Amino acid sequence: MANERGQLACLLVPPLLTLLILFVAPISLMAIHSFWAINDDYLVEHSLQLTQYEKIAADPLYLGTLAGSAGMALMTTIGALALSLPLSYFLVRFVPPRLRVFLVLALIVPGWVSVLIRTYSWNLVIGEAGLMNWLLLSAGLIEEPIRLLFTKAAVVIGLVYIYLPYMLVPIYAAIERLDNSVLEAAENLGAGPARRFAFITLPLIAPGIIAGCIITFIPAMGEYVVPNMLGGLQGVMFGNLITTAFSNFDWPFGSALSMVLLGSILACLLIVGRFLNINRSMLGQE
Amino acid sequence: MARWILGTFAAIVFAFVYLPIALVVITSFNQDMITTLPIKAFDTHWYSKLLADRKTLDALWTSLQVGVIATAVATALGLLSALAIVRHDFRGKNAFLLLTVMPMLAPGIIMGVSLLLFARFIGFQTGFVAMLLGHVLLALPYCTFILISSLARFDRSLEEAARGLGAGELAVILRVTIPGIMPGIIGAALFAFTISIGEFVVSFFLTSAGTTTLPIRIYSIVKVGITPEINAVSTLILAATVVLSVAALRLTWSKRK
Repeated sequence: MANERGQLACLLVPPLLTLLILFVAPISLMAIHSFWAINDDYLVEHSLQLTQYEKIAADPLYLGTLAGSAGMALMTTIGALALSLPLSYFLVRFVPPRLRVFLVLALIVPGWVSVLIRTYSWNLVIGEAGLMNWLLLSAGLIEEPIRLLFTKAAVVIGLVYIYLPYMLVPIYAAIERLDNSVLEAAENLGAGPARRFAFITLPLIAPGIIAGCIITFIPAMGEYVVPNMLGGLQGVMFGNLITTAFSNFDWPFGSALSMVLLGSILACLLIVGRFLNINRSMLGQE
Repeated sequence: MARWILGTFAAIVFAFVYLPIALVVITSFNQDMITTLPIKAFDTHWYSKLLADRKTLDALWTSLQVGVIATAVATALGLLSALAIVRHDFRGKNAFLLLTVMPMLAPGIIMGVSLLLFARFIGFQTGFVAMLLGHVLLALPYCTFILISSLARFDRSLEEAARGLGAGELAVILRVTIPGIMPGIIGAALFAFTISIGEFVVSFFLTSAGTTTLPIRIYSIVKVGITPEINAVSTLILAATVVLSVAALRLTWSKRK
């Protein structure tokens, strides 16, 4: 028994220490920092206060950008969902299994290329001298190049591009697991395609959809690289504000902004969880 | 009918995924300095130019060093975690699993700034080692989960046999278990390396003047203007990533079939 415990300790201690030192301690320190303040000499004052949070609440820029980031993350989630659902359905329904596995991998593997490279590559597509404007100009459809780069729309396109694999994998897995006999039964009983989708397919793949939405929304909301490279001044997200605070050496303020971002992400998760629980209990009562 | 509509839709999604990457590759062979379309002449002189660019090569070298060491550390730690999770029951196992997943879910920027804050607070110099530790943290969850799944599929009767023949606990792990899950270990290592090589946000906060990784070097150039040379570097990274990921997938999936 003692041997067993000793073994477990040997296995557990190194990774646990790594996580505690590199993750728990830094985040905790950041939480503490957010209650400190910086004085006129740019030194951190170690006295607990709410100055930073008051500053965030007082300036509409911060909460406005937070709401804007949530909105962009929501649009990203909807966009990725709108691409993933029909695509997964097509792959499962009409493509033979071997080719299907290859095609799914072909969609996922580019997702492992550096985010930085995948993001800037959109410059070549939607930039002023990019492919889109070149095609439209040569076709005579537009007179002036469209300024899409450095807008909110550019950021959302970039985010959908980066996070598509996050959405695709759980949704594809859910659709692939669907039991076709249930759908056939419904068809035999006279349900049309729309009814079959709404009352059978959708409830069955709902867990996959929810998982996909959560793991797309969370990182999209805290994204920094995409708005930084494609957003310009219009497409600023909350992550950019955090970086600005840290590059101004206002660590307490940057920490408070980070805590607000973490708090909002946690709140979104709790709301989704609560909403799901209510739905489940309603279904249970029926 | 539905088949054709959905098929066209699927083709558009594939175009959406591959078009930007394809443009990076194509423009890297553009002879002109400015990346304007249409491309008039193709050649590989940006690749030769790359070979003479000291700063970019230094950044590549740093990236490779950070990548190899971070991979080794993250894979080893992941193996320890996976052994503890798969083979032992202990109080707080779920809490430990949750703690392992969290670095996967927290936004990269929060990890970057909190690590920077922590390093400054304890007086730790940012730079090579700091970036390395950051990459270990980011890769650890992926390594742990890949190794959990290969350990769970590993047939333990082989270990029993080795024990019966008189092998000690450590010898069993080193000479039976580890060789048995080698594909999973290599797969985890390749994932960790891929993550480290492409990582930007955390490195961005933990970099120092002397040590720059390739993504940070690319960022500093792209911020000024995209050059075909940068497209050439990116094309090389792209090729390397695809090769590594396909290898990782083959290794981690081979047992399931």
